[in-house]
Amino acid sequence: MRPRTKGVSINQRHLTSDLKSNLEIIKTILNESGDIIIREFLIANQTKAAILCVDGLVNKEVVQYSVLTPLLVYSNDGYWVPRYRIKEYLEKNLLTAEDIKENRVISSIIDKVLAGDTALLIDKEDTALIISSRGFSTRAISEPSSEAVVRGPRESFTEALRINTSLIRRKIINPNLVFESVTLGKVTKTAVNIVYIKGLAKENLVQEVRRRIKEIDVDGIFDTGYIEQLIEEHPYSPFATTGYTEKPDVLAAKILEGRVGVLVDGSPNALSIPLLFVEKFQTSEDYYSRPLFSSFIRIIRFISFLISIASPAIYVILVSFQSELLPTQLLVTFANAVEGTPFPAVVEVSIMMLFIEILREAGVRMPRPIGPAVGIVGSLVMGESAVSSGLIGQPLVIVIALTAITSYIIPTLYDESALLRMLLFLFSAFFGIIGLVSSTILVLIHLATLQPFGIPFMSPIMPLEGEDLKDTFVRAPLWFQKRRPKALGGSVRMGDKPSPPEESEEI
Amino acid sequence: MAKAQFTNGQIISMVAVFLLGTTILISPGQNLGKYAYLSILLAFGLFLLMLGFYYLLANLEPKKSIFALNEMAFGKILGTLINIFYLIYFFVLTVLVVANFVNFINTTILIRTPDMVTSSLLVAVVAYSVRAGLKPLAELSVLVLILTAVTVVSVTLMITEIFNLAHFLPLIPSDWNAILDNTFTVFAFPFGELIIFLGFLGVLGKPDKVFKNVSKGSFLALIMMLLVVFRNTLVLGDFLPMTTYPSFETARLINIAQVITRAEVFIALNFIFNGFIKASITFYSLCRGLKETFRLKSYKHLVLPIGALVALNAHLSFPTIIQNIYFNVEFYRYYAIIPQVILVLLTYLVLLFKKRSAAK
Repeated sequence: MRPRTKGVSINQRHLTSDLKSNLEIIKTILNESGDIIIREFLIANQTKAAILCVDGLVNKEVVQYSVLTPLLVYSNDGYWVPRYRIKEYLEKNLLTAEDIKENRVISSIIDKVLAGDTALLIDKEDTALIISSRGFSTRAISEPSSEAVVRGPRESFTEALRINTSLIRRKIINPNLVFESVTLGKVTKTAVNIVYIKGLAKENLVQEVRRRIKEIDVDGIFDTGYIEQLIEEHPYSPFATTGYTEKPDVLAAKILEGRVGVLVDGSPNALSIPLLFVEKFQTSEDYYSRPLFSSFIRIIRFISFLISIASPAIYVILVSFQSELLPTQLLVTFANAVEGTPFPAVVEVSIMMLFIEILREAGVRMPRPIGPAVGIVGSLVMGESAVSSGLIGQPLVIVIALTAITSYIIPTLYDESALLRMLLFLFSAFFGIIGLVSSTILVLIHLATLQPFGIPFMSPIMPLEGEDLKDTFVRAPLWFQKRRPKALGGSVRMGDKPSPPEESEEI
Repeated sequence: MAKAQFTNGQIISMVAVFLLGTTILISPGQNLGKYAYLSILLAFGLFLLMLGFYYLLANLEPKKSIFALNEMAFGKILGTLINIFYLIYFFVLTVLVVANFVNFINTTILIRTPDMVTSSLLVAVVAYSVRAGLKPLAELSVLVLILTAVTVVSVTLMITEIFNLAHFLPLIPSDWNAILDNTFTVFAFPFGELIIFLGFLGVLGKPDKVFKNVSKGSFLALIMMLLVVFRNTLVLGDFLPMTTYPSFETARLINIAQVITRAEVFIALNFIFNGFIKASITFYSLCRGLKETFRLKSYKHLVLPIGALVALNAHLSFPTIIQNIYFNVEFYRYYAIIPQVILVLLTYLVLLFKKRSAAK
């Protein structure tokens, strides 16, 4: 092993005009790695030169037809070129590759080569030509797997950054759409792009995101999840304050509302900053479908969320504390079902809640063919037999099933609701309805203190913004939403037209 | 981070929720029965007068709290003594609100739970929110005000079928002394308690804007209070003075097709939200006052120990609901009148005199 420091000192250097020593230095820095291709040849039978590229990262056709063929074949029948003009001649007259840049710094040349470009080094020249030739194989653009839609675009991000940026660029054809490049990771040197629309995203939001991303100092970034955790300001809150999506249309819509996106090379998920609480209840389809049904679904989602976090707590309250709240008939049915079960309600519910989380975790990680089997064993066999053997009451099974189903309605809120459910349940188990209210107040106060990137997380509910409620619990028709959300600047989104259809005259 | 801005709606809601806090449950002037509204109206008139004085005082030195004003008026030593008196009053008020809470819960919902447990839970929640600052509290109070309005109106609508207008007869009261006596009580609790807001007025904004919203908020509270009192009288009539929690009893009578019954739990929920906001505001003001009087850097480390004292005192001072109500109705007013009226007027006059003589 060579000492590391030696490599670093070489890194800072510029190229010399001696091809042989240049290649030696580069070979040393690259540790003679097996996937590096160095091809030496003569240009026009007189000038020594070499190309440097990485096998598997370059588009071989580009290297073959736009670099090697012109250099080896056509250079011979050109007229005589003076020595000192050879670089210019190659660049202007010979090479047919689309993008060629000059570079002198060794470390920068190597970064480019490792990213998939081809470097052309010429003897007696202290400048290398960097020929754009990136062409590595990527996954094709496919349908989103975690955000399935019935209506709307069906493409999703892939792992390649440039494909992802092109997907956004194709949706927002505007010169103000900016992709700011940042390289993160001391070892991995991952390309990261900050995406926003200039003049539309709040300037201090963009600055804050940029500042925090540039301050990141880690060895490697493999997914947007790393960035999310490194820039969020409430790491101990159960609520995520940055969102992620794998659909370009969703990210484009968020950017258009004034948010900032972050794309990471190698990650099919884009970050959107900031994430507001109500956003978790919104899906892209809400906007593609007609407003009445979308609003209905929105309300269903809010109700489901409440059910999923509060139903075990309310069950315990009803069984152990305030049975008088149940209508008499229901109370009798309840008492019959619960009678004879050996454990108090609190223990029953804790066991079942734990059980359902285990079942879910088992189902998610299983290979696809085994997943349903786990579900069947878990839910049918164990649930059914637990009731018939008299270990737990039937109403509890219904409550737990309801909790589980409602918690899947909003996948983006699953993490939060699992933790909230535990909190509400524990408080209710000890203090009954007072515990439920106290824990609700705690959560609400906590939510009100969340200010990701200086933007109130609970907007437009806390602080209340009447204007923005049009897109919260309901999804009002598009022509009502004339402005962008107030928390994100509130600039005008559309003019007076389109407007609601005029009513026909009364007859 | 940007400095916290309080919107008009937030100030209005804080004031309204603060005034409605305990009154949702414990009707002011309850022992007057059907004439309670008269003493509420009279007390509100007095309160508006006092609000005028508070406004004049706040306008003398905008951005300064009552604690700073006291020191300006009476000098460092006497001012600090007066401030300590204010702090004790704020402390007692916090204890009283928490005790109202705890006594209510221990008589109606968690009957067998020791009151120290309940008060510790509530004070823990209050302490958490006070540590978070006034802004989240203000934002939450908007939601609580909406919840309160919805509860008050819907309970009223659901109970209309057993309204009896005859409960208001005779319209003219015969015993005006009792009404005037109660006016005093109602003024001290809840209206005069708004003195708490003088402890952090500067935080809310300019006096002009704040007082406009404070008066709007108190009018809103008055309307809701009257609605509650009228509703309870129409339903309970002569039984009203006999009950401890008239709104609770009223809601208990709701019965719509055997399905919506025993709605009193919604009143209880609403009360807990309101009482929580009220306790947090008094507690916040207390902590800020301590910070200003003793020139501390931050009040946050005070929250837990003072909170423990509040919980302990709620248990020691008011072990039962009877003692709580007795103190509330009989003694509280004599004590509260000093910081609510006398000291404020004194401070105002001294400051005015000082300003005048300085101008000459």
